[in-house]
Amino acid sequence: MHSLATTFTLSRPVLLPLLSGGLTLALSNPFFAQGAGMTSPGTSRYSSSVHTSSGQTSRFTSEFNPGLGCVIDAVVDYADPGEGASGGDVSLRIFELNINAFIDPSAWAYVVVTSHELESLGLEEAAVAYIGFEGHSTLRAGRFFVDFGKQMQTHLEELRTLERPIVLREFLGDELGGTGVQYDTWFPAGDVPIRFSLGAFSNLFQAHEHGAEEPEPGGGTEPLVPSRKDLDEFSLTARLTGLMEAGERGTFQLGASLRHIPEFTFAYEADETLDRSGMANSVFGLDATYGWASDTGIQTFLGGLEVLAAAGDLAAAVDDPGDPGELVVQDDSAAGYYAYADYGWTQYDSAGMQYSRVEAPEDPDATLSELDLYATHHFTEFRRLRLGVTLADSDESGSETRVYLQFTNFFGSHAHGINW
Amino acid sequence: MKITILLFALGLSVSIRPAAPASAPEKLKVVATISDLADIAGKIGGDRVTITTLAKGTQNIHRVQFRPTHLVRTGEADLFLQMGLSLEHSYVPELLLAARNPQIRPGAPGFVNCSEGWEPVEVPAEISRRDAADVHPQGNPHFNLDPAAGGFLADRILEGLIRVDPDSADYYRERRAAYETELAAARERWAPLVEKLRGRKVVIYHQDFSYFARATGMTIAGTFEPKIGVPPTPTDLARLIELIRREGVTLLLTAKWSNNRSVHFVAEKTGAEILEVPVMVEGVAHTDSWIAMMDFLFAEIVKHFAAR
Repeated sequence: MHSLATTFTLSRPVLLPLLSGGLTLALSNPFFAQGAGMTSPGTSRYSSSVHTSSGQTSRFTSEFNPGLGCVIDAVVDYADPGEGASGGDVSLRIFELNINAFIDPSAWAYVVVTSHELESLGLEEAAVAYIGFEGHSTLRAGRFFVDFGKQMQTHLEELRTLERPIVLREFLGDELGGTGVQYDTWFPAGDVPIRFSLGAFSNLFQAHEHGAEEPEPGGGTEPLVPSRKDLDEFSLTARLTGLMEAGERGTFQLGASLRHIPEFTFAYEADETLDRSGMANSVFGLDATYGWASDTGIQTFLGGLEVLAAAGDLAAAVDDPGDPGELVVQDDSAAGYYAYADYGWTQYDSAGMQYSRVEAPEDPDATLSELDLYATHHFTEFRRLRLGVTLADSDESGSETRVYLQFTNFFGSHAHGINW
Repeated sequence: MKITILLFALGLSVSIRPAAPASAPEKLKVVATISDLADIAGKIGGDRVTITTLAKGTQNIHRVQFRPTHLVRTGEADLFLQMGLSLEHSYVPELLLAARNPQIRPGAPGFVNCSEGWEPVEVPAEISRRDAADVHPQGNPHFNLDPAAGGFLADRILEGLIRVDPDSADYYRERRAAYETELAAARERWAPLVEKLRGRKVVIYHQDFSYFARATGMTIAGTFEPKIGVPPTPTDLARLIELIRREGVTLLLTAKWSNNRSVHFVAEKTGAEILEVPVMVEGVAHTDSWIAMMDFLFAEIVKHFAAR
């Protein structure tokens, strides 16, 4: 009892100012909605400390929230195809949301959600990168763009051209996203960093996400991988690449890539009795890239070549759609390449070209080619306008000309990255 | 299956490499993001360090391109020196992530953020790209052009060297003291020049010269970039020409990498002189040390005003 009375006596003078101060704070709460209402001269208006009323971080604190970044990529174009209607269009081609954060000191994670042509949002990438190994190794798991060549890891809006080269689209798809794991590491061989990666994925065939394809008369074929697999039925990727300095200002890179699908079925949509299982195919690529920057880093040149070959069961079609008797599989090989050159004369302006040619996987006697010419102007690092023309030629559908104006905006957190 | 085995065998063969043969004690491997830090680290580290510089003195520090040796050297570095204040944001974070060197990870003994303890100017009141494209949330990072920066950077570098190589602490302290003598002599040379620059008006391209202007009492009457990181439009240039005429500005200060086409245009219209000065060590000829760069900067600017 004695101690309680003593405590009350000592606390009373302190309690009254505290109560009145608390009342003042409560009444003046709106002033604190956007930070402290008044600061003394020279003090920061913003504190880096974590603000919580409980003195603890909790599910409601925001300081640990991941970094968010968005991309809006819009296109105005006019196309004059060899077949079909010509005309112009305006489209919000891509909306992309990026989320990045460290999970703990040994791992970080990221998510890329996109909407193409105002379709519903789709998960393009969602992966965890474990970096807790000794040395320079990373183990990535989840869904992500696989490590193949110089362009397949890059998102569409970050390319130098509107689309990927036609050889990549024909052999690998618009995007090469897979769900699986990938191990990659690098080591120095003298002054040359050598990197290699190995990946195992559930499925590397691209789902038809970006713009529905016209159904083929009589039904088309679709490659399907088994939903449950033995170890040797997982799709595999590998890449080996090295970078070396070429003089004071140049960098030269050589790389080799592989994508192998060991087991899949050509499913015939109109009649599943014609399905052909036990299919396999592979795509190989060799790439060479040269980059140069002036003393100031303002003038830049980039040139490169990537040669690809596809082999195995490349395509399938029924021999007679009216009276299907057999699904004929194209077990063959096809080749293609793309080459590009890009010159930047200021930090805001560049222009370039890209040429791509490929033997059609479904008919290696037929070829497809595309020539892209473009000029890019950056208003700032985050806002870009590109004027381009694509001249496409196909043995099957003739030639097509497409003129476009692409307007791309990056906002929020923004990654630079080392893509090699 | 054969391909699977082949690929993993390839991975294994590359992963298992023989250990490097034992050799004499190696020099401390130092990686510096800019040539200013490399110069000062060399002054203090002497023959006990080997130094790699990532950015050239002539380069736009905000647009440094990745080079293969950057990765190799950073991967094996004992000490990593950066200016900080987001100066090297376009390449350092990803380089450190790729190099995966625990010795120089931020927070590790081998990581030195040389701006730690520096009081920056132009700290944005609000972190938003509405006010600038090239936002440095912690303030202006170009403090290497402050005449007081040499000693400050030397102290940060000394601390880092002693942390990773305590056995050589006395050696580094002796060399730091010797460098202080050089700095003191330089400050004596610069003191009368400061008086000649006080109140002089200049127009700059980028905010590189804010600290130099503050230290010398020069007035930055205008900038080519209407907002930091945003190139000037013809309207901006017209406003700048009017301002230069109205304020009687005679000097346009630029770095080698700035957009000098617009600077030349404005100079032609106003008669102001363009002075292309170094913003980092080795930015122009005869600036191969931090002190030499500051000597050059003072001398060129004073020479301009002396002729008017």
